[in-house]
Amino acid sequence: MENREFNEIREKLYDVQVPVDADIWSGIESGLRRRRIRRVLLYASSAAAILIAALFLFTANPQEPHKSSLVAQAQQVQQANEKTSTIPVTPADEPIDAEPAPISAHKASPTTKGAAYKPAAHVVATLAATENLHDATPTAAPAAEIAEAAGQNGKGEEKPAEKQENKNAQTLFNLNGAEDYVAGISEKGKGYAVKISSGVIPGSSASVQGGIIKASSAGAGSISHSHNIEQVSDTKYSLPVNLGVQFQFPIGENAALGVGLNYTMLRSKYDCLINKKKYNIKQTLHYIGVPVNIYGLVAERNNFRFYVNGGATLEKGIRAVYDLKSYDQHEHNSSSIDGVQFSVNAGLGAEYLLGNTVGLYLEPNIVYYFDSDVPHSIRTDQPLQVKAELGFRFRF
Amino acid sequence: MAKDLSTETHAQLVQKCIKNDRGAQKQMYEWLAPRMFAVCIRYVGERESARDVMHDAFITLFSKLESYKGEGSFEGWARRIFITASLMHLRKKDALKYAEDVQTHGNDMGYDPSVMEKIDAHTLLKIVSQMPAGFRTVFNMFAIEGYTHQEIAKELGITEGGSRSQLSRAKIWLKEKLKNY
Repeated sequence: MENREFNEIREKLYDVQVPVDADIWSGIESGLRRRRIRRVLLYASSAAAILIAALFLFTANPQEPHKSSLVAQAQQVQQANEKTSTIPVTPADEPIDAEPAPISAHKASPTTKGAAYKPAAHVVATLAATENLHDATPTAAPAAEIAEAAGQNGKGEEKPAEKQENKNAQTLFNLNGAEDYVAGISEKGKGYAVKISSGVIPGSSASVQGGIIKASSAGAGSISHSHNIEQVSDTKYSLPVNLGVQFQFPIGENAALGVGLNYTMLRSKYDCLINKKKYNIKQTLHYIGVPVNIYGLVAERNNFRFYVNGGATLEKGIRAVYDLKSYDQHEHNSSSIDGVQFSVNAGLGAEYLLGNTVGLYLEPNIVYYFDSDVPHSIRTDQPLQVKAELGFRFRF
Repeated sequence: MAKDLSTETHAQLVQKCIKNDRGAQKQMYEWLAPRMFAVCIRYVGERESARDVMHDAFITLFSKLESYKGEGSFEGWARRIFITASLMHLRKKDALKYAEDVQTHGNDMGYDPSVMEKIDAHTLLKIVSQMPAGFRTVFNMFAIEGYTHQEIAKELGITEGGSRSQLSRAKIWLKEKLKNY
Protein backbone atom coordinates (compact mmCIF):
# COMPACT_ATOMS: atom_id res chain seq x y z
CA MET A 1 0.00 0.00 0.00
CA GLU A 2 2.72 2.39 0.98
CA ASN A 3 4.54 1.83 -2.27
CA ARG A 4 1.43 2.47 -4.34
CA GLU A 5 0.66 5.74 -2.53
CA PHE A 6 4.22 6.92 -2.65
CA ASN A 7 4.50 5.98 -6.31
CA GLU A 8 1.50 8.15 -7.09
CA ILE A 9 2.99 11.08 -5.23
CA ARG A 10 6.42 10.49 -6.79
CA GLU A 11 4.94 10.41 -10.29
CA LYS A 12 3.28 13.75 -9.72
CA LEU A 13 6.10 15.53 -7.93
CA TYR A 14 9.38 14.12 -9.27
CA ASP A 15 9.34 15.96 -12.57
CA VAL A 16 7.08 18.85 -11.68
CA GLN A 17 8.32 22.14 -13.06
CA VAL A 18 7.85 25.56 -11.58
CA PRO A 19 8.36 28.72 -13.66
CA VAL A 20 11.46 30.54 -12.54
CA ASP A 21 11.70 34.25 -11.88
CA ALA A 22 13.60 36.01 -14.66
CA ASP A 23 16.07 37.75 -12.36
CA ILE A 24 17.51 34.56 -10.84
CA TRP A 25 19.88 33.99 -13.74
CA SER A 26 21.39 37.46 -13.51
CA GLY A 27 22.09 36.82 -9.82
CA ILE A 28 23.75 33.49 -10.65
CA GLU A 29 25.77 35.12 -13.42
CA SER A 30 27.12 37.83 -11.13
CA GLY A 31 27.77 35.20 -8.46
CA LEU A 32 29.86 33.20 -10.94
CA ARG A 33 31.77 36.34 -11.87
CA ARG A 34 32.45 37.23 -8.23
CA ARG A 35 33.54 33.69 -7.52
CA ARG A 36 35.98 33.80 -10.40
CA ILE A 37 37.44 37.11 -9.28
CA ARG A 38 37.85 35.70 -5.77
CA ARG A 39 39.75 32.74 -7.20
CA VAL A 40 41.94 35.02 -9.27
CA LEU A 41 42.71 37.10 -6.18
CA LEU A 42 43.40 33.95 -4.17
CA TYR A 43 45.84 32.65 -6.76
CA ALA A 44 47.40 36.09 -7.14
CA SER A 45 47.89 36.53 -3.40
CA SER A 46 49.33 33.04 -3.10
CA ALA A 47 51.68 33.76 -5.95
CA ALA A 48 52.64 37.10 -4.47
CA ALA A 49 53.34 35.42 -1.13
CA ILE A 50 55.55 32.84 -2.85
CA LEU A 51 57.29 35.58 -4.80
CA ILE A 52 57.94 37.66 -1.70
CA ALA A 53 59.20 34.61 0.17
CA ALA A 54 61.47 33.69 -2.72
CA LEU A 55 62.79 37.23 -2.99
CA PHE A 56 63.46 37.28 0.70
CA LEU A 57 65.36 34.01 0.48
CA PHE A 58 67.38 35.02 -2.56
CA THR A 59 68.23 38.51 -1.41
CA ALA A 60 68.96 37.69 2.20
CA ASN A 61 72.66 38.03 3.00
CA PRO A 62 73.61 35.02 5.09
CA GLN A 63 77.14 36.30 5.68
CA GLU A 64 76.30 39.74 6.95
CA PRO A 65 78.26 39.29 10.21
CA HIS A 66 81.34 38.30 8.23
CA LYS A 67 81.02 41.39 6.07
CA SER A 68 80.67 43.55 9.12
CA SER A 69 83.87 42.22 10.59
CA LEU A 70 85.76 42.92 7.39
CA VAL A 71 84.38 46.42 7.17
CA ALA A 72 85.33 46.97 10.79
CA GLN A 73 88.82 45.72 10.00
CA ALA A 74 89.01 48.13 7.11
CA GLN A 75 88.04 51.02 9.30
CA GLN A 76 90.58 50.00 11.94
CA VAL A 77 93.30 49.79 9.33
CA GLN A 78 92.31 53.13 7.90
CA GLN A 79 92.60 54.71 11.30
CA ALA A 80 95.99 53.06 11.77
CA ASN A 81 97.10 54.25 8.34
CA GLU A 82 96.05 57.80 9.04
CA LYS A 83 98.05 57.82 12.25
CA THR A 84 101.17 56.38 10.61
CA SER A 85 100.82 58.35 7.36
CA THR A 86 100.77 55.21 5.29
CA ILE A 87 98.48 54.72 2.33
CA PRO A 88 94.96 55.58 3.43
CA VAL A 89 92.01 53.70 2.14
CA THR A 90 88.69 55.07 1.04
CA PRO A 91 86.18 54.40 3.77
CA ALA A 92 83.80 51.73 2.67
CA ASP A 93 80.73 53.84 3.09
CA GLU A 94 82.00 57.02 1.47
CA PRO A 95 81.51 57.91 -2.18
CA ILE A 96 84.48 56.79 -4.16
CA ASP A 97 85.51 60.23 -5.21
CA ALA A 98 85.37 61.56 -1.71
CA GLU A 99 88.59 63.05 -0.34
CA PRO A 100 91.03 61.89 0.72
CA ALA A 101 91.39 59.00 -1.70
CA PRO A 102 95.03 58.62 -2.51
CA ILE A 103 94.62 55.32 -4.27
CA SER A 104 93.72 56.73 -7.64
CA ALA A 105 92.17 53.51 -8.76
CA HIS A 106 89.38 54.17 -6.33
CA LYS A 107 88.34 57.29 -8.17
CA ALA A 108 85.42 57.08 -10.47
CA SER A 109 86.14 56.62 -14.10
CA PRO A 110 85.20 59.55 -16.34
CA THR A 111 83.10 57.15 -18.31
CA THR A 112 80.98 56.16 -15.38
CA LYS A 113 77.73 57.91 -14.66
CA GLY A 114 77.48 59.63 -11.32
CA ALA A 115 78.34 57.66 -8.23
CA ALA A 116 77.11 54.45 -9.68
CA TYR A 117 80.33 52.66 -8.86
CA LYS A 118 80.18 53.28 -5.19
CA PRO A 119 79.33 49.66 -4.31
CA ALA A 120 82.26 48.44 -6.36
CA ALA A 121 84.46 50.94 -4.59
CA HIS A 122 83.10 49.61 -1.39
CA VAL A 123 84.31 46.18 -2.35
CA VAL A 124 87.72 47.45 -3.38
CA ALA A 125 88.17 49.60 -0.32
CA THR A 126 87.26 46.78 1.98
CA LEU A 127 89.53 44.35 0.24
CA ALA A 128 92.42 46.79 0.09
CA ALA A 129 92.08 47.61 3.73
CA THR A 130 91.93 43.98 4.69
CA GLU A 131 95.03 43.33 2.67
CA ASN A 132 96.76 46.06 4.56
CA LEU A 133 95.83 44.30 7.72
CA HIS A 134 97.58 41.20 6.49
CA ASP A 135 100.50 43.09 5.06
CA ALA A 136 101.65 45.49 7.73
CA THR A 137 104.11 47.41 5.56
CA PRO A 138 102.40 48.61 2.46
CA THR A 139 104.66 50.20 -0.07
CA ALA A 140 104.12 52.83 -2.68
CA ALA A 141 104.67 50.40 -5.51
CA PRO A 142 101.21 48.87 -5.53
CA ALA A 143 99.67 52.32 -5.46
CA ALA A 144 101.78 53.36 -8.41
CA GLU A 145 100.79 50.28 -10.30
CA ILE A 146 97.22 50.88 -9.46
CA ALA A 147 97.49 54.45 -10.66
CA GLU A 148 99.09 53.23 -13.84
CA ALA A 149 96.37 50.70 -14.37
CA ALA A 150 93.75 53.33 -13.77
CA GLY A 151 95.45 55.65 -16.22
CA GLN A 152 95.35 53.00 -18.88
CA ASN A 153 91.77 52.20 -18.39
CA GLY A 154 90.29 55.31 -16.99
CA LYS A 155 89.23 56.72 -20.34
CA GLY A 156 86.68 54.06 -20.74
CA GLU A 157 88.35 52.56 -23.77
CA GLU A 158 88.09 48.87 -24.00
CA LYS A 159 91.17 46.77 -24.27
CA PRO A 160 91.24 44.30 -27.14
CA ALA A 161 90.39 41.59 -24.70
CA GLU A 162 87.31 43.50 -23.72
CA LYS A 163 86.06 43.49 -27.27
CA GLN A 164 86.25 39.78 -27.57
CA GLU A 165 82.99 38.39 -28.65
CA ASN A 166 81.18 35.78 -26.74
CA LYS A 167 82.45 32.92 -28.81
CA ASN A 168 80.80 30.32 -26.71
CA ALA A 169 77.46 31.95 -26.76
CA GLN A 170 74.87 29.30 -26.57
CA THR A 171 71.15 29.27 -26.82
CA LEU A 172 69.67 30.12 -23.52
CA PHE A 173 67.02 27.67 -22.66
CA ASN A 174 64.75 28.92 -20.00
CA LEU A 175 63.27 25.66 -18.84
CA ASN A 176 60.70 26.57 -16.34
CA GLY A 177 59.64 23.71 -14.17
CA ALA A 178 56.64 25.83 -13.83
CA GLU A 179 53.22 26.10 -12.42
CA ASP A 180 50.89 28.12 -14.54
CA TYR A 181 47.35 29.22 -14.09
CA VAL A 182 46.04 30.43 -17.40
CA ALA A 183 42.59 30.76 -18.76
CA GLY A 184 42.65 33.53 -21.32
CA ILE A 185 43.63 31.78 -24.49
CA SER A 186 42.25 28.42 -23.71
CA GLU A 187 38.91 30.00 -23.13
CA LYS A 188 39.20 31.87 -26.37
CA GLY A 189 39.64 35.14 -24.64
CA LYS A 190 36.76 34.78 -22.26
CA GLY A 191 37.22 35.50 -18.59
CA TYR A 192 40.22 36.41 -16.46
CA ALA A 193 43.27 34.39 -15.73
CA VAL A 194 46.29 34.22 -13.54
CA LYS A 195 49.51 32.65 -14.67
CA ILE A 196 52.09 31.68 -12.16
CA SER A 197 55.43 30.38 -13.25
CA SER A 198 58.39 29.31 -11.25
CA GLY A 199 61.42 27.22 -11.78
CA VAL A 200 64.99 26.56 -10.87
CA ILE A 201 67.25 26.27 -13.86
CA PRO A 202 70.46 24.37 -13.34
CA GLY A 203 73.69 24.38 -15.29
CA SER A 204 75.62 27.02 -17.13
CA SER A 205 74.68 28.32 -20.52
CA ALA A 206 77.43 30.52 -21.84
CA SER A 207 80.83 31.88 -21.15
CA VAL A 208 82.72 35.02 -22.05
CA GLN A 209 86.41 35.15 -22.76
CA GLY A 210 88.64 36.48 -20.06
CA GLY A 211 89.88 40.03 -19.89
CA ILE A 212 89.16 43.16 -18.03
CA ILE A 213 85.52 43.52 -17.31
CA LYS A 214 83.88 46.02 -19.59
CA ALA A 215 82.83 49.17 -17.81
CA SER A 216 79.14 49.19 -18.10
CA SER A 217 77.91 52.66 -17.48
CA ALA A 218 76.18 53.22 -14.18
CA GLY A 219 76.50 49.55 -13.47
CA ALA A 220 76.10 49.75 -9.78
CA GLY A 221 76.45 46.05 -9.44
CA SER A 222 79.24 45.64 -11.93
CA ILE A 223 82.89 45.92 -11.17
CA SER A 224 84.69 48.42 -13.31
CA HIS A 225 88.24 48.29 -14.59
CA SER A 226 88.61 51.76 -13.17
CA HIS A 227 89.04 50.04 -9.86
CA ASN A 228 91.93 48.01 -11.16
CA ILE A 229 90.00 44.82 -11.17
CA GLU A 230 91.26 42.67 -13.95
CA GLN A 231 89.32 39.67 -15.05
CA VAL A 232 91.60 36.75 -15.60
CA SER A 233 89.16 34.01 -16.48
CA ASP A 234 86.11 33.35 -18.59
CA THR A 235 82.80 34.44 -17.19
CA LYS A 236 80.58 31.49 -16.61
CA TYR A 237 76.89 32.22 -16.60
CA SER A 238 74.31 30.08 -14.89
CA LEU A 239 70.85 29.83 -16.35
CA PRO A 240 68.37 32.21 -14.78
CA VAL A 241 65.89 31.39 -12.05
CA ASN A 242 62.43 32.75 -12.72
CA LEU A 243 59.39 33.25 -10.54
CA GLY A 244 56.37 35.12 -11.71
CA VAL A 245 52.71 35.82 -11.68
CA GLN A 246 50.72 36.92 -14.67
CA PHE A 247 47.16 38.05 -15.12
CA GLN A 248 45.51 37.49 -18.46
CA PHE A 249 42.58 39.51 -19.63
CA PRO A 250 40.51 38.71 -22.71
CA ILE A 251 40.76 41.29 -25.47
CA GLY A 252 38.78 39.45 -28.09
CA GLU A 253 37.40 36.09 -29.08
CA ASN A 254 40.84 34.53 -29.60
CA ALA A 255 43.21 36.90 -27.88
CA ALA A 256 44.32 37.79 -24.40
CA LEU A 257 46.50 40.43 -22.82
CA GLY A 258 48.91 39.24 -20.15
CA VAL A 259 50.39 41.57 -17.56
CA GLY A 260 52.55 40.21 -14.82
CA LEU A 261 55.31 40.53 -12.31
CA ASN A 262 58.48 38.47 -12.71
CA TYR A 263 61.50 37.87 -10.60
CA THR A 264 64.75 36.85 -12.28
CA MET A 265 68.06 35.87 -10.78
CA LEU A 266 71.15 36.03 -12.99
CA ARG A 267 74.30 34.38 -11.73
CA SER A 268 77.82 34.40 -13.05
CA LYS A 269 81.30 33.71 -11.78
CA TYR A 270 84.78 34.70 -12.86
CA ASP A 271 88.26 35.19 -11.49
CA CYS A 272 89.76 38.63 -10.99
CA LEU A 273 92.98 40.18 -9.90
CA ILE A 274 92.35 42.89 -7.38
CA ASN A 275 95.53 44.66 -6.40
CA LYS A 276 97.43 41.68 -7.79
CA LYS A 277 95.56 39.31 -5.60
CA LYS A 278 93.38 36.69 -7.24
CA TYR A 279 89.75 36.50 -6.25
CA ASN A 280 87.02 34.19 -7.36
CA ILE A 281 83.92 36.34 -7.73
CA LYS A 282 80.39 35.07 -7.80
CA GLN A 283 77.96 37.70 -8.98
CA THR A 284 74.21 37.41 -8.42
CA LEU A 285 71.81 39.95 -9.84
CA HIS A 286 68.18 40.13 -8.77
CA TYR A 287 65.62 41.69 -11.06
CA ILE A 288 61.92 42.44 -10.80
CA GLY A 289 60.16 42.83 -14.11
CA VAL A 290 56.78 43.68 -15.53
CA PRO A 291 56.09 41.67 -18.69
CA VAL A 292 53.27 42.68 -21.00
CA ASN A 293 52.31 40.16 -23.66
CA ILE A 294 49.58 39.59 -26.19
CA TYR A 295 48.54 36.03 -26.91
CA GLY A 296 46.61 34.98 -29.98
CA LEU A 297 45.09 31.58 -30.56
CA VAL A 298 46.05 30.26 -33.99
CA ALA A 299 44.56 26.77 -34.10
CA GLU A 300 42.96 24.09 -32.01
CA ARG A 301 43.16 20.46 -33.03
CA ASN A 302 42.14 17.55 -30.85
CA ASN A 303 43.95 18.12 -27.59
CA PHE A 304 46.45 20.57 -29.04
CA ARG A 305 46.33 24.34 -29.07
CA PHE A 306 48.71 26.55 -30.98
CA TYR A 307 49.20 30.22 -30.36
CA VAL A 308 51.52 33.14 -30.95
CA ASN A 309 52.67 35.66 -28.44
CA GLY A 310 54.65 38.85 -28.37
CA GLY A 311 55.39 41.60 -25.94
CA ALA A 312 57.89 43.51 -23.88
CA THR A 313 59.32 43.44 -20.39
CA LEU A 314 60.65 46.23 -18.24
CA GLU A 315 62.92 45.05 -15.46
CA LYS A 316 64.45 46.86 -12.53
CA GLY A 317 67.50 45.51 -10.79
CA ILE A 318 66.88 45.32 -7.09
CA ARG A 319 70.11 43.91 -5.74
CA ALA A 320 73.57 42.87 -6.86
CA VAL A 321 75.32 40.44 -4.57
CA TYR A 322 79.02 39.62 -4.78
CA ASP A 323 80.81 36.78 -3.15
CA LEU A 324 84.58 37.28 -3.33
CA LYS A 325 86.98 34.55 -2.30
CA SER A 326 90.73 34.50 -2.24
CA TYR A 327 93.07 31.98 -0.69
CA ASP A 328 92.87 33.75 2.66
CA GLN A 329 89.80 35.93 2.47
CA HIS A 330 86.08 35.68 1.96
CA GLU A 331 84.01 38.79 1.43
CA HIS A 332 80.28 39.05 0.86
CA ASN A 333 78.93 42.28 -0.48
CA SER A 334 75.77 43.64 -1.94
CA SER A 335 74.51 46.86 -3.44
CA SER A 336 71.52 48.32 -5.17
CA ILE A 337 71.33 48.40 -8.96
CA ASP A 338 70.64 51.52 -10.96
CA GLY A 339 69.06 51.51 -14.40
CA VAL A 340 66.34 49.44 -15.97
CA GLN A 341 66.43 46.65 -18.52
CA PHE A 342 64.00 46.74 -21.42
CA SER A 343 63.46 43.73 -23.64
CA VAL A 344 61.08 42.61 -26.35
CA ASN A 345 60.03 39.08 -27.15
CA ALA A 346 58.03 37.15 -29.72
CA GLY A 347 57.34 33.50 -30.13
CA LEU A 348 55.06 30.56 -30.61
CA GLY A 349 53.35 28.29 -28.15
CA ALA A 350 51.91 24.82 -28.24
CA GLU A 351 49.87 23.27 -25.51
CA TYR A 352 48.71 19.71 -25.01
CA LEU A 353 45.63 19.39 -22.84
CA LEU A 354 46.09 16.67 -20.26
CA GLY A 355 42.60 17.17 -18.91
CA ASN A 356 39.96 19.80 -18.57
CA THR A 357 42.03 21.97 -16.30
CA VAL A 358 45.64 21.05 -16.95
CA GLY A 359 47.78 21.53 -20.03
CA LEU A 360 51.44 20.97 -20.80
CA TYR A 361 52.90 23.75 -22.89
CA LEU A 362 56.08 24.62 -24.71
CA GLU A 363 56.69 28.27 -25.58
CA PRO A 364 59.83 29.08 -27.58
CA ASN A 365 60.53 32.81 -27.74
CA ILE A 366 63.15 35.11 -29.17
CA VAL A 367 64.12 37.82 -26.71
CA TYR A 368 66.15 40.93 -27.35
CA TYR A 369 67.64 42.81 -24.41
CA PHE A 370 68.29 46.46 -25.20
CA ASP A 371 71.50 48.11 -24.13
CA SER A 372 70.96 49.87 -20.84
CA ASP A 373 72.58 50.98 -17.63
CA VAL A 374 72.52 47.63 -15.95
CA PRO A 375 75.38 45.51 -14.67
CA HIS A 376 77.38 43.25 -16.92
CA SER A 377 75.57 39.95 -17.38
CA ILE A 378 74.60 37.35 -19.96
CA ARG A 379 72.11 39.90 -21.23
CA THR A 380 74.75 42.53 -21.96
CA ASP A 381 77.05 39.95 -23.56
CA GLN A 382 74.39 38.24 -25.57
CA PRO A 383 71.42 40.56 -26.11
CA LEU A 384 69.61 38.31 -28.56
CA GLN A 385 68.57 35.09 -26.94
CA VAL A 386 66.27 32.21 -27.64
CA LYS A 387 64.42 30.81 -24.70
CA ALA A 388 61.99 27.94 -24.44
CA GLU A 389 59.55 27.85 -21.60
CA LEU A 390 58.15 24.49 -20.62
CA GLY A 391 55.46 24.22 -18.03
CA PHE A 392 51.95 23.39 -16.97
CA ARG A 393 48.82 25.49 -17.19
CA PHE A 394 45.96 25.23 -14.77
CA ARG A 395 42.66 26.71 -15.82
CA PHE A 396 39.88 27.89 -13.62
CA MET B 1 9.44 25.21 -19.14
CA ALA B 2 12.59 23.15 -19.32
CA LYS B 3 14.09 22.37 -22.68
CA ASP B 4 14.82 18.72 -23.30
CA LEU B 5 18.29 17.91 -24.47
CA SER B 6 19.69 14.76 -26.02
CA THR B 7 22.39 12.81 -24.21
CA GLU B 8 24.96 13.93 -26.74
CA THR B 9 23.98 17.53 -26.24
CA HIS B 10 24.28 17.04 -22.47
CA ALA B 11 27.90 15.99 -22.84
CA GLN B 12 28.71 18.90 -25.13
CA LEU B 13 26.92 21.33 -22.87
CA VAL B 14 28.79 20.06 -19.81
CA GLN B 15 32.12 20.46 -21.59
CA LYS B 16 31.29 24.00 -22.63
CA CYS B 17 30.16 24.87 -19.11
CA ILE B 18 33.44 23.50 -17.72
CA LYS B 19 35.23 25.96 -19.99
CA ASN B 20 33.18 28.74 -18.44
CA ASP B 21 31.21 29.36 -21.61
CA ARG B 22 28.56 31.71 -20.26
CA GLY B 23 26.14 30.96 -23.08
CA ALA B 24 26.31 27.25 -22.37
CA GLN B 25 25.87 27.89 -18.65
CA LYS B 26 22.72 29.84 -19.36
CA GLN B 27 21.46 27.07 -21.60
CA MET B 28 22.04 24.54 -18.83
CA TYR B 29 20.30 26.84 -16.38
CA GLU B 30 17.25 27.14 -18.62
CA TRP B 31 17.14 23.40 -18.99
CA LEU B 32 17.45 22.54 -15.31
CA ALA B 33 16.00 25.52 -13.46
CA PRO B 34 12.23 24.80 -13.61
CA ARG B 35 12.63 21.24 -12.31
CA MET B 36 15.26 22.16 -9.73
CA PHE B 37 13.24 25.12 -8.53
CA ALA B 38 10.42 22.70 -7.76
CA VAL B 39 12.87 20.50 -5.85
CA CYS B 40 14.06 23.48 -3.80
CA ILE B 41 10.50 24.61 -3.03
CA ARG B 42 9.58 21.06 -2.02
CA TYR B 43 12.44 20.96 0.48
CA VAL B 44 12.65 24.46 1.89
CA GLY B 45 8.97 25.31 1.68
CA GLU B 46 9.08 29.01 0.82
CA ARG B 47 9.57 30.37 -2.65
CA GLU B 48 11.93 33.15 -1.51
CA SER B 49 14.19 30.73 0.32
CA ALA B 50 14.03 28.39 -2.65
CA ARG B 51 15.35 31.20 -4.87
CA ASP B 52 18.36 31.67 -2.59
CA VAL B 53 19.02 27.94 -2.47
CA MET B 54 18.76 27.62 -6.23
CA HIS B 55 21.18 30.51 -6.71
CA ASP B 56 23.80 28.89 -4.46
CA ALA B 57 23.17 25.43 -5.89
CA PHE B 58 23.71 26.56 -9.48
CA ILE B 59 27.01 28.21 -8.58
CA THR B 60 28.06 24.98 -6.83
CA LEU B 61 26.92 22.95 -9.82
CA PHE B 62 28.96 25.00 -12.31
CA SER B 63 32.04 24.82 -10.13
CA LYS B 64 31.73 21.07 -9.62
CA LEU B 65 30.93 20.07 -13.18
CA GLU B 66 34.38 18.60 -13.66
CA SER B 67 33.63 15.99 -11.02
CA TYR B 68 30.74 14.62 -13.10
CA LYS B 69 32.24 11.53 -14.68
CA GLY B 70 29.40 10.84 -17.07
CA GLU B 71 28.19 7.88 -15.04
CA GLY B 72 24.43 7.89 -14.55
CA SER B 73 22.06 10.60 -15.60
CA PHE B 74 23.34 14.14 -15.45
CA GLU B 75 20.03 15.36 -14.15
CA GLY B 76 20.19 12.88 -11.28
CA TRP B 77 23.68 14.11 -10.43
CA ALA B 78 22.53 17.72 -10.58
CA ARG B 79 19.46 16.95 -8.45
CA ARG B 80 21.67 15.73 -5.62
CA ILE B 81 23.45 19.10 -5.59
CA PHE B 82 20.14 20.91 -5.23
CA ILE B 83 18.94 18.54 -2.51
CA THR B 84 22.22 18.97 -0.60
CA ALA B 85 21.96 22.77 -0.94
CA SER B 86 18.40 22.63 0.37
CA LEU B 87 19.42 20.49 3.34
CA MET B 88 22.26 22.91 4.13
CA HIS B 89 19.80 25.77 4.09
CA LEU B 90 17.50 23.92 6.49
CA ARG B 91 20.41 23.10 8.80
CA LYS B 92 21.41 26.76 8.89
CA LYS B 93 17.88 27.65 9.87
CA ASP B 94 17.96 24.92 12.50
CA ALA B 95 14.94 23.39 10.84
CA LEU B 96 16.18 19.82 11.00
CA LYS B 97 15.77 19.28 14.71
CA TYR B 98 13.71 16.21 15.21
CA ALA B 99 11.35 15.21 17.91
CA GLU B 100 11.82 11.95 19.69
CA ASP B 101 10.90 8.79 17.90
CA VAL B 102 7.22 8.18 17.80
CA GLN B 103 5.25 5.04 17.24
CA THR B 104 4.81 4.30 13.59
CA HIS B 105 1.13 4.26 12.65
CA GLY B 106 1.37 1.66 9.96
CA ASN B 107 2.41 2.07 6.41
CA ASP B 108 -0.86 2.97 4.82
CA MET B 109 -1.55 6.69 4.58
CA GLY B 110 -5.20 5.73 4.26
CA TYR B 111 -6.37 8.56 2.04
CA ASP B 112 -9.04 8.16 -0.59
CA PRO B 113 -7.30 6.77 -3.71
CA SER B 114 -9.38 9.01 -5.95
CA VAL B 115 -7.79 12.07 -4.35
CA MET B 116 -4.61 11.56 -6.30
CA GLU B 117 -6.52 11.53 -9.53
CA LYS B 118 -8.25 14.77 -8.67
CA ILE B 119 -5.28 16.69 -7.35
CA ASP B 120 -2.80 18.23 -9.76
CA ALA B 121 0.98 18.28 -9.32
CA HIS B 122 1.23 21.96 -8.40
CA THR B 123 -1.40 21.68 -5.72
CA LEU B 124 0.29 18.61 -4.30
CA LEU B 125 3.60 20.48 -4.35
CA LYS B 126 2.02 23.34 -2.46
CA ILE B 127 0.63 20.94 0.16
CA VAL B 128 3.95 19.17 0.62
CA SER B 129 5.85 22.46 0.87
CA GLN B 130 3.57 23.49 3.73
CA MET B 131 4.49 20.42 5.74
CA PRO B 132 6.66 21.11 8.85
CA ALA B 133 10.34 21.02 7.90
CA GLY B 134 11.27 17.92 9.87
CA PHE B 135 8.55 15.73 8.37
CA ARG B 136 8.91 17.30 4.99
CA THR B 137 12.59 16.54 4.61
CA VAL B 138 12.26 12.85 5.43
CA PHE B 139 9.11 12.60 3.35
CA ASN B 140 10.76 14.17 0.33
CA MET B 141 13.85 12.04 0.60
CA PHE B 142 11.97 8.79 1.15
CA ALA B 143 8.83 9.20 -0.89
CA ILE B 144 10.02 11.30 -3.83
CA GLU B 145 13.75 10.76 -4.14
CA GLY B 146 13.69 7.14 -3.07
CA TYR B 147 16.34 7.25 -0.33
CA THR B 148 16.29 4.41 2.19
CA HIS B 149 15.91 5.14 5.92
CA GLN B 150 19.56 4.18 6.33
CA GLU B 151 20.64 6.75 3.73
CA ILE B 152 18.36 9.40 5.23
CA ALA B 153 19.71 8.70 8.70
CA LYS B 154 23.26 9.09 7.45
CA GLU B 155 22.51 12.22 5.47
CA LEU B 156 20.63 13.97 8.26
CA GLY B 157 22.65 12.66 11.16
CA ILE B 158 19.69 10.94 12.83
CA THR B 159 18.82 7.35 13.64
CA GLU B 160 16.94 5.12 11.25
CA GLY B 161 14.16 4.98 13.85
CA GLY B 162 14.05 8.77 13.84
CA SER B 163 13.71 8.75 10.08
CA ARG B 164 10.85 6.25 10.24
CA SER B 165 9.04 8.22 12.89
CA GLN B 166 9.33 11.43 10.90
CA LEU B 167 7.94 9.68 7.86
CA SER B 168 5.09 8.38 9.95
CA ARG B 169 4.27 11.88 11.13
CA ALA B 170 4.44 13.14 7.57
CA LYS B 171 1.95 10.54 6.44
CA ILE B 172 -0.46 11.46 9.20
CA TRP B 173 -0.10 15.13 8.40
CA LEU B 174 -0.60 14.54 4.68
CA LYS B 175 -3.62 12.33 5.22
CA GLU B 176 -5.26 15.13 7.18
CA LYS B 177 -4.52 17.65 4.45
CA LEU B 178 -5.76 15.42 1.65
CA LYS B 179 -9.12 15.00 3.35
CA ASN B 180 -10.01 18.44 2.12
CA TYR B 181 -9.71 17.43 -1.52
